Amino acid sequence: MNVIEINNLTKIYPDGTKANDGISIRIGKNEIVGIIGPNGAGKTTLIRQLLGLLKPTSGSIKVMSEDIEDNADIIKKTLAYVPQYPLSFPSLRVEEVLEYVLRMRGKNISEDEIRERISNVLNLVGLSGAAKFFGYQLSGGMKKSLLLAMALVQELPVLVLDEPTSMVDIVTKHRLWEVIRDSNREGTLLASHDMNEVKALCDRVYLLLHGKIVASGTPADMVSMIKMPTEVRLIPQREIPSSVLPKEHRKRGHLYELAFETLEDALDTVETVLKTAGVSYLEIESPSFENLVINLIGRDGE
Amino acid sequence: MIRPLIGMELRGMRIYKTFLFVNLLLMPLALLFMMIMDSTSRTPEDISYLVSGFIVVSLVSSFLGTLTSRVSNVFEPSVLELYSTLPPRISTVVFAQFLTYSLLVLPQVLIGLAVIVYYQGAGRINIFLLILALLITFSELGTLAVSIGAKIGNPYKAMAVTGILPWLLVVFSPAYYRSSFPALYLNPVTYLLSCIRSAIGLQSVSSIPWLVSAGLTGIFLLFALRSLRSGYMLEKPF
Repeated sequence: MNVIEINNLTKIYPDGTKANDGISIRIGKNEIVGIIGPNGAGKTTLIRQLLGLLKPTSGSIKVMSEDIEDNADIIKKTLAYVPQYPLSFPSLRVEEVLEYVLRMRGKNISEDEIRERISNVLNLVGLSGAAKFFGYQLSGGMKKSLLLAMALVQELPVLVLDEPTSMVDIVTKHRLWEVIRDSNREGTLLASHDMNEVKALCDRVYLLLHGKIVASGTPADMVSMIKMPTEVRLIPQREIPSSVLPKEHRKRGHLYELAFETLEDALDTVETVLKTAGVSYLEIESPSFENLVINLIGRDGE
Repeated sequence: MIRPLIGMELRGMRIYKTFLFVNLLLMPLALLFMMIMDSTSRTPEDISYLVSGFIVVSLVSSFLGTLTSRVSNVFEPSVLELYSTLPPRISTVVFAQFLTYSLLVLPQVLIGLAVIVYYQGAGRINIFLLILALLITFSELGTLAVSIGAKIGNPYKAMAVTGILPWLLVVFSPAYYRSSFPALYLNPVTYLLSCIRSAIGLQSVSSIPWLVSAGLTGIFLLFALRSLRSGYMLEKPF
């Protein structure tokens, strides 16, 4: 059974803009599926249709095998959502927000269970020390962590995340990634334009461009689809002879930044540099997922 | 479901408590004090007339303005997204806000009524009609606030409306002056004032203000329900 199944979804706004064009996406059990695409690609329109806030022009959306048009309640019963914007409740304490979410969710939850679930989720997202903070005292990263905590504390089967770590510092970002990865939901849909986030979290990825899916597969599948650009950053022990350097390179102080069309070219060059100049620092990014996506987007544009 | 929502709304006002105290109690009561400070030179009817005007003006300026602003916040796309997967329906959230702000303005209304009873006695007050008049006033202003707030869907844009609308409704109504100028009857507040004043015995009971107010409440309720019941809340023509 697919947790979410989107079939041939098209959304045309009254002004004629086709925001989604025949999109089909499925999220299998225990899968984390990513949707990546630049701004304006149609990710938000897609999510708003999934949340029942926009009516699809054609196509269908099923959550837990139930068509949301026939049974809109399935959205509130199964989906937990983390919005893109760091919404906050300025004069509610962090623990109060979670308490209200739980009280809205179930009348039969005991006080002890409420305390325990709040404490667990705050530990998980790293907000234990901020339980008594008011919303207005929270940083951008804390607000996003609280939104994730609100989604997790409800213990619903499906997570829908819209750029969950945008506007978040790198340490918090990695912690939130870990929480999302370990949340063990029946299914997770992640919309993002952070390529590293998608690569770090997703089992499968859909690349959305101008409202259409232009590529899909595992991050590894997508990498193998085309020749992979590779980036190398190194600090040599001695000056590198210019004949060794590729056409695309930049020197910043002692640091060389080199770009190659393939991983093989990059490794050959690194080997030569090692022999001729020695290497005291080396960083290789291959496949560079971000470049791959840019490459795919560029290719589609052509 | 309603209780946690009201609790959330009330607790959410903690940081504005001084602002709320000043706007919901201190300033209105100062105005009320000014109305009655020279009471010896006025008849009890005159004082009751002013204080009944004060009750409706309080509701128009505090209740209508605040509820419009809060509802417009709920109808922001990002907030609708957040509530789309939370248990309460938007109609429940808005109803909880209606109840919360009704509770908050109730002290002004009760103090006003106590002043009226003090000056003119309780004998002329028709309790049943008074309760009905207050219910219609709360309902009409509440549904108007929900209709406007839902339509605007942005608290910053709503500020323009909440700044000017209560002022227009108050100035062009016989709240603090006596007038039967025909244009004033285009203002719904004029009819609400008539309902309350007839309930407290300041004017004869006529069916017209009651019917007009009930009719307007029905119309505003239809507009409010159209926004609240819509399945696809972000679906609107561009």
